[in-house]
Amino acid sequence: MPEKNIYTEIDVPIKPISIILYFRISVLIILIFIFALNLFAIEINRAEIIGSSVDLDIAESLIDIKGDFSEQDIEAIGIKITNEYHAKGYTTSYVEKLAVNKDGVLKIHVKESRILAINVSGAKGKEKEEVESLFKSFIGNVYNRYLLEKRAETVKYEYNLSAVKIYPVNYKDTSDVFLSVMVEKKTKGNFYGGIGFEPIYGITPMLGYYHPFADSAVDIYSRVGYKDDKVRRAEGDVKYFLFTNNSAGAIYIGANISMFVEQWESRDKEYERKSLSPVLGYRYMYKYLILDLYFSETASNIEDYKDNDKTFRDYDSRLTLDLGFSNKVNLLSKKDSTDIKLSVSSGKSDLNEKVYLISSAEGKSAASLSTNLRIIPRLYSYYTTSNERYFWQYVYDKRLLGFFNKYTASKWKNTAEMAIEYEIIPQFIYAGPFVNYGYFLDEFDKWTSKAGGGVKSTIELKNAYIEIYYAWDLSKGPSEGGLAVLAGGRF
Amino acid sequence: MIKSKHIVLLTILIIFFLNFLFASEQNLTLFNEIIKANTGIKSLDAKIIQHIDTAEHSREVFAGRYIADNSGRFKIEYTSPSKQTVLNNCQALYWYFHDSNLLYILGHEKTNHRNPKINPLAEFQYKDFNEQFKMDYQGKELYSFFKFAHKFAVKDIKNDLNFNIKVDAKSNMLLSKIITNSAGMEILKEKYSNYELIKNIYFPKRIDVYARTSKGIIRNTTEYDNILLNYSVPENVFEMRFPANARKKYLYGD
Repeated sequence: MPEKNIYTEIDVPIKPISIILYFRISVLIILIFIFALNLFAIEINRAEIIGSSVDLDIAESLIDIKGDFSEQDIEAIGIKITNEYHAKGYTTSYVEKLAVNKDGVLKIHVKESRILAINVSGAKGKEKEEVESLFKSFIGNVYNRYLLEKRAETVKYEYNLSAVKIYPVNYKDTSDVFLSVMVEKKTKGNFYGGIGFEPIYGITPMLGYYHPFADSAVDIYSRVGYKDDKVRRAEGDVKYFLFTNNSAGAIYIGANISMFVEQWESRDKEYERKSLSPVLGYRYMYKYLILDLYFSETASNIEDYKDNDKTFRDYDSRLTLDLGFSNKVNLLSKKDSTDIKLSVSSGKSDLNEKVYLISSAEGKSAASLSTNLRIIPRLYSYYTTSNERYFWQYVYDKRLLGFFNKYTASKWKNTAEMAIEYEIIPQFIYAGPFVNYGYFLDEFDKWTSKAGGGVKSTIELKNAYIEIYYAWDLSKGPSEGGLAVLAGGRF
Repeated sequence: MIKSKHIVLLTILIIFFLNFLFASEQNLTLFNEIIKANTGIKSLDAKIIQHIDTAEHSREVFAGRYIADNSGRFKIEYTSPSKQTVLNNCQALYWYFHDSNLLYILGHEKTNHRNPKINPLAEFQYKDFNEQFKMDYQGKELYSFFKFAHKFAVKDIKNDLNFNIKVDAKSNMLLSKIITNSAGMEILKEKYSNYELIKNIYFPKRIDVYARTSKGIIRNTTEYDNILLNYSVPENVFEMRFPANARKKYLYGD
């Protein structure tokens, strides 16, 4: 018996859904969606930004915020505020939490990332302290990349550095940051030099080169003086500095080779000396102070010093202590600085029977009488126990101008200068009168006083300066005067 | 006799005590008077010559016309060394170079900026002065030719900065303001000189500003001439009128 087919195949024609039905379904879906949205919409009456201390553009537009917002809308507000923080340089600050209370107040909790501490690496000692001081004012402030980068540029320029890198590091588990400032020193050297006219040695060009390494540096310079068709001075100097752990100090070793043609006033003749002088020293800098302690051993050939056509060989061992003070680093106007230098040295040489002592003191300051007028006093004193002309100092040098072609040397000299400087063209040309006075023991061992004076003009260029003096003996007149020029620069 | 000596001694002590007690208040009053004396300028129109010296570039001399109001807006129309327009409309700083049709925009447009005020002591015009600053009157000192100046040391506690301020004791006009950091390093130095009395207001015809900046130490000397004070500056002066086809360059600012 055949199996009974319980299914009957019926052909049912499938009718296409009409466009109207499609439309109805779409409308229904939209209505359901809108209904669902309304179910999850949040009513906001106003917004409050909590924990923000910086000016935000968005803050103003949030004052009048009102209406129904979806979660996505509210999140978008948070993202917008975070973006604004970042755009303004506050790259570590962000919106931490968004909450709407039952009164419809949207509370936007901002987490501002503050700088809690700063550490400077790559610099040591005084330099480290100074760099730290330039960043210290940021402690407690909200981290701002732009402001810090700007300050880093200042530090880079001020300290002649290769780079100043700033890294914000999360402070423990907080959102605040610990600022790591990494200083990279320049490995490129600088040439410096100048040309001047010295009353004693004539036209004197000078050229130097300073090359820094990671923890050391080399300083080389040479100088030549030319007057009356003769080289009267030739000098070469090299020093290698090895910075000690805190970088405030440096041990240095070097050598100086020199030739000088000197003039006796009392004997009306010249003598010449050629010297080689190795030196070992230690330099220490602390805030405004520089201390320099060095030992030198000098071997010299001295010709025609006492007896004509005779050469005397002198060996000199000397210990010197220099102490300098200058507030120049801290000032914006270097012309207003106060500089003091004290020096004392003692040694033994073949020319002296006993141990000799040399001391000197120099000071300069400036006081503004008005914006474009300042008064500049200078004092200098030199004394040595040695009775040898060889150890004495010329009197009529740049500290006592107005007495050209005079060569008396002194074992004890004191000079004072008072200059008035008027700024003729701002930041460019300065000029004014000066008087200098000297009270000294001359080569004949006689106390003498002399007063000179004149006019000084200074031209300041980008990295260079030119000083022009016209000076004369005040007991005579300007017609008896002479010209002195000094120029210098760093390039 | 002994009794009268005691009375004299006691009186002196009381005077010293009262002087100590009221001195700081008197000094604060004096300082407030000085701030007020420097608030007279509401608007300014003058010819200027600026000598600008930066470590990067050689000294440059600019000349032009400067218009400013006390809301911090200013406009400079430079005629030398080339035609340039500088506009600060409290939203951004615009610097337009006419010859090259180049417009620099410094700072974010539509952002509230801290603008330089005409009053050089504007930073102290806070109602919460005592919360942010600690003022110390340091007495009088001689300056220039037999003139006296009041000296103030104001500590900005919040920013760890020190302000050294000198004002003329007679006119209360500012002579200098030096800002140093905690290490004693000068950050900003302003000198005001060549004062002239215009409309009963002392105006400095020369201002020197030294600043430690990212470009090194910058010095700017501005000399003012043909000065017009406290006139009604037409609003359209501060309107942006740069060509639509100007090439724009945005620079970051703080």
